[in-house]
Amino acid sequence: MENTALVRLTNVGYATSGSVILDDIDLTISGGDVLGISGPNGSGKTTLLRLLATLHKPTRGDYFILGATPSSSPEALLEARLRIALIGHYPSLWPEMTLLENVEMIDRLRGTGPSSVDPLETVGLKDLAGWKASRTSLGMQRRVEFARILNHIPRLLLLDEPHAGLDEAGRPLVDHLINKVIDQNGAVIMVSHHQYLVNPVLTRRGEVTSGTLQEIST
Amino acid sequence: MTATTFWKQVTWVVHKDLRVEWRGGETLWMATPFAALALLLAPLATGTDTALIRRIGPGMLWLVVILFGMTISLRPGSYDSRPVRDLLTLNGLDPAADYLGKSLAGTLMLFGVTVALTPIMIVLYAPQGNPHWVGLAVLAITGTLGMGLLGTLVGTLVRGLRVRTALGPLLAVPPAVPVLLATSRGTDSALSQGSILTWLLLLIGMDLALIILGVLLAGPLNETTA
Repeated sequence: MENTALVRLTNVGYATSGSVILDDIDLTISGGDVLGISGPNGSGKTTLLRLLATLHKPTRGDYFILGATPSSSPEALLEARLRIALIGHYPSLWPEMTLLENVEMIDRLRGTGPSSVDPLETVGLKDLAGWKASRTSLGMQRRVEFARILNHIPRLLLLDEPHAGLDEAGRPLVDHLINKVIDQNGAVIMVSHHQYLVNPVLTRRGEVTSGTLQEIST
Repeated sequence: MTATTFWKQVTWVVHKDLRVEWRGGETLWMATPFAALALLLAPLATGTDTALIRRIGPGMLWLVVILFGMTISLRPGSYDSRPVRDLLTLNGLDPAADYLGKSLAGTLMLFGVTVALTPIMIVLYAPQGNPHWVGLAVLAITGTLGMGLLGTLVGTLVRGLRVRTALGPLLAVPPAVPVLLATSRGTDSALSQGSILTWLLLLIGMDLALIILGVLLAGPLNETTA
């Protein structure tokens, strides 16, 4: 394994309930990489992101994700997970809590104090901090997820359709988030159907088709 | 993870679940009135046999608490959604801390329901005797803890299944039987100043078994349902 690689997948496959979802995935990600992944619906893009987030364990192949390997101890897996952030298709908010509480609860879980910069202000939600999440739009909920990440910049940021629900003013926040991660020598892997929005920030592109990943020259 | 961090996480989960419950009010405003109604209607079904009504009072209370406790534990609102579970996993929440925290939050809710229903049972069923109040309180704590642990364990086992609401009670009933027996028979004994030791030991044994089982299964269950 190269020490500089944040992620290395070698001949990785993932199958569940008898169906092969991903097959023969080879991928190396280093600090500074921004990989955009496209592909048709159901091709395995989201599963690949979950696998990179260590939320799915590959059913074959070898992997190294921020130090987590197939034989990692629970402590090493935890260490890796604390440096990964995933923004998935559906918002990861508690609907009954306010937007501010949704940010603060994660700070408390991680045992960190409040940030010196108000992350809700950065994402344009300072005035709505007391609103319940259930009363807000998908775009606002996305911004709350961005605010959480701004409080704990991850080494590996995984984004699944990050522009979904965002208005014109909110879209630059995705680039802001990516830049923050890259500034700290992290890497970003992003699934998006909005190629015109993501192309300017990508350093690499790939396409998942029927469970296999092909890198496309940029 | 240090023990301090582990117990801080348990406290965090209790705080989170109670806050969500307080805002949603599912237990307070939906389950509790129905449970009270069940206690109210049962004597009507037994006719005017007041001796029988007095005898079944404690058993009815615990039967209602167990049934509505299972409803509370298996309700969709008692689970974090999958995106939230992913978020918690990536932010280092120990699945065992999650299990214990959810169980304690469920126990506190059930204890509240029990405390709210007990005066109703006393008024409607008028059980006779000179109650041993400390014994009743200890039975209520150990009994609701058993139900909280059992509900959380079953809820975790059936989480994400389409047949969750049908399978949950089927899985919960066998281990709930000793809890129901111990709480209702123990309450009978406490009301008549008899010894509750046997029933209390049974409840403590069940609670310990459920704590050990849940803590051991929490990690593997979290990984398989991730």
